[in-house]
Amino acid sequence: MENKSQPVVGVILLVLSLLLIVGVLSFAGPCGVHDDGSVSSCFWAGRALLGIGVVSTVLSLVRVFERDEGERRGLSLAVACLGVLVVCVPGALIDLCMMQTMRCHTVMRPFALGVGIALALVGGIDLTRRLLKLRHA
Amino acid sequence: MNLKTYPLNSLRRHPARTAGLCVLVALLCSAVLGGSLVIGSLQNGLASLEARMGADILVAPKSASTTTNLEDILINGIPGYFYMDKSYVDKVAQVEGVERVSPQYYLASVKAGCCSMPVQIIGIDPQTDFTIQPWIDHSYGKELQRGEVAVGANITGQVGSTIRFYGRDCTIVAKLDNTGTALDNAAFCDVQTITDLIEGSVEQGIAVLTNNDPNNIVSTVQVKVDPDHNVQDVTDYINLHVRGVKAVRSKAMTTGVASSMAGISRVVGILVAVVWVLAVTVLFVALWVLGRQRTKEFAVLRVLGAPSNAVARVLVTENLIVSAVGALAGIAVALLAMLGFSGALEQALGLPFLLPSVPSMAIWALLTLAMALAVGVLTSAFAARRIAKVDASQILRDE
Amino acid sequence: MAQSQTIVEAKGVRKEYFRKGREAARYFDAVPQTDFVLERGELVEVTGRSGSGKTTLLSMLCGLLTPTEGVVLVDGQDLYALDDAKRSALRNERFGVIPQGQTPLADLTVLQNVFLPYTMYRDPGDVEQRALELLAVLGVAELSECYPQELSGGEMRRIAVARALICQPDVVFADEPTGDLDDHNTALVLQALRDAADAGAAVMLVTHEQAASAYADRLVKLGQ
Repeated sequence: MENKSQPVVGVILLVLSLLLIVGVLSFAGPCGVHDDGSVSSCFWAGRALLGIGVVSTVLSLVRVFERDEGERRGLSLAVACLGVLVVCVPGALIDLCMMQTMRCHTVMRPFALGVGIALALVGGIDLTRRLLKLRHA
Repeated sequence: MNLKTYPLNSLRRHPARTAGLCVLVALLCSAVLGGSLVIGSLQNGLASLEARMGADILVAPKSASTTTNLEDILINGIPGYFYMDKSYVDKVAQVEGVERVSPQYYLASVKAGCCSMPVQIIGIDPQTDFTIQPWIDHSYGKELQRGEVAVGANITGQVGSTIRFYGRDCTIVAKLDNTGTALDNAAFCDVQTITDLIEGSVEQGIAVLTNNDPNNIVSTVQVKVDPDHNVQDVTDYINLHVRGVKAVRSKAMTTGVASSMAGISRVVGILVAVVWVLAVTVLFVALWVLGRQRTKEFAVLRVLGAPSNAVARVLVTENLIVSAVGALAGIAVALLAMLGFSGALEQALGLPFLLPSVPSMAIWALLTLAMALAVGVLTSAFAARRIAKVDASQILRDE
Repeated sequence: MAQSQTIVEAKGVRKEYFRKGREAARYFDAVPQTDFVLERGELVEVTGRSGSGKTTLLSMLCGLLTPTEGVVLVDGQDLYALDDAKRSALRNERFGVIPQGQTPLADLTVLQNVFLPYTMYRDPGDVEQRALELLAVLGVAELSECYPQELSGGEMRRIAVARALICQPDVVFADEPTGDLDDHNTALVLQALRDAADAGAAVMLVTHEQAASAYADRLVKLGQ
């Protein structure tokens, strides 16, 4: 059963990472560009989330095919940390718009929170399981 | 390994089956709790709106196309402004049956450092106001002074920071409690401040006023009717005898909201009921089929010396674990979704929407958990009863 | 007072079933009125043609099937006068039952299967060690961490035998325990049952196995 669960974790992380990218680029993106071409601060939060999503996707893809136990632990840790970063970017690290009714508050931020928490949990639980197994071995 | 640990072991050995059942229960609980919270939030929002309306009658200039503009501002959250001469305040106050009056002033900002979205600015007379002032008292406890604003819950601004309207800097002195209404998107100030802002708007070339002197205008007159008089009669009298204004019962504005809310609540309620019936049916059938597949397993336990009620307890315990885990997952998903996306939901519904308090949500969550556990026990009770009647010797002989 | 040699006694037990279909034979006797005795230290071989009621009789004697008529006494106590809970506890404490067919529980390892009857009512103590010893006697100790799906039919039968003996029962009921076994393993199983009888247990062995006669003290033929 242990061999079967390894790619499953990587696939879950990959799906979440791709969801982050697709979401930020479509239904859960920041507020749009203004008529005069200027952008709000939430635009940069969206850009940051996109970048993190790309990195997370690459790491998750490697995780799917990686066989070395130590590498797997490292990759799970990395993606879990990226999940925490996703949670922190909108609102905490990068300001969003002033009105709570704007799309960056009502859709982008809760979406990022959900995906970020999921990434952190899946990566964190996988890492913890592997460390415990290592300790008891 | 003994009969106490047997149920957990069974669940672990069949992860796909266990996960499937948990997901089913989670879906059931998410739907029930989510639907209940949506309906509860709509009811809360309506109650909040009715409380915020405060006045029995709202008097606005006839030229402001009356009710529509008022609804836009107070209910739909579309910033706007209109003005009439200040003398109308006294005229309305003198109408028989009017207990007290208070003027309000509306202004919409163009850009206030908030993503080019206009913000509704509402000016009140702290001495006479009886709709907004009590709400400000609750959060701030003092009268607003010149240059000070209290902002609604949806405006991102720290207390003590500055917000700029029409070239005038105002200090945020209070952030008001969430009401789930359009007033959460507004900023509130006193008469002097809004007069300054109106002057500022004129300076910036925004033609909010036509011929009026900024010091002699009001937007609406809020009216409280004497309890001994009929509100409709007073409304009709004002409309007949006070020229140039239109009087509207605040109840008339909330009635439309109430019926929309009732319609949506009904739809949500039906959807929740459908999901509930489907999920419980599928759960029942799944547990029944699984129970039948495990008849031999239970017969062997009986042969080894397990009494029939202990065997039934194994099945019920398995289902309780699945129900508990599924329920907790479903409740977590529903709560996170509601807390995270309540803003988006409010905008999509276009109605006042105020999440219940934390204790209320906790009670709803506990009720949902209890319901899931009850469903788990009841659906397994049928299978458990069948097991209790199993003729172990016949089952094993058939091999 | 000296312990009576008779531990299980069936007096006039009969089992009637209702069979749907044929008009003339609505009710039929799976087991006609029968007396049967099991004595301590004795291995009784029970044979008979298919449908003669061997398994039905075994089920009635071990408390799994209420007779239509008659009594089953265990050390003089009416077995079916007890409620289900007491009867089940007695079966666990004093009987070891090896049912027909493949009966290890699929979700437990071989070792867990063997010691489950013991831990149903008792603290585990050193039961795991005893279970391993029993498995060793039956030649399947190396399979202790395997699951039944990984075993052959013969291996599963031997595990069922070990499971029946884990509580050191006073009576062993064995229904075709050597089906699917080769000669060597058949001999292992029969010897284990013989050893249980020599240790003082009463053993009822329902079988078609020719080799069983060499291990039995008494032969009972049903259906004659």
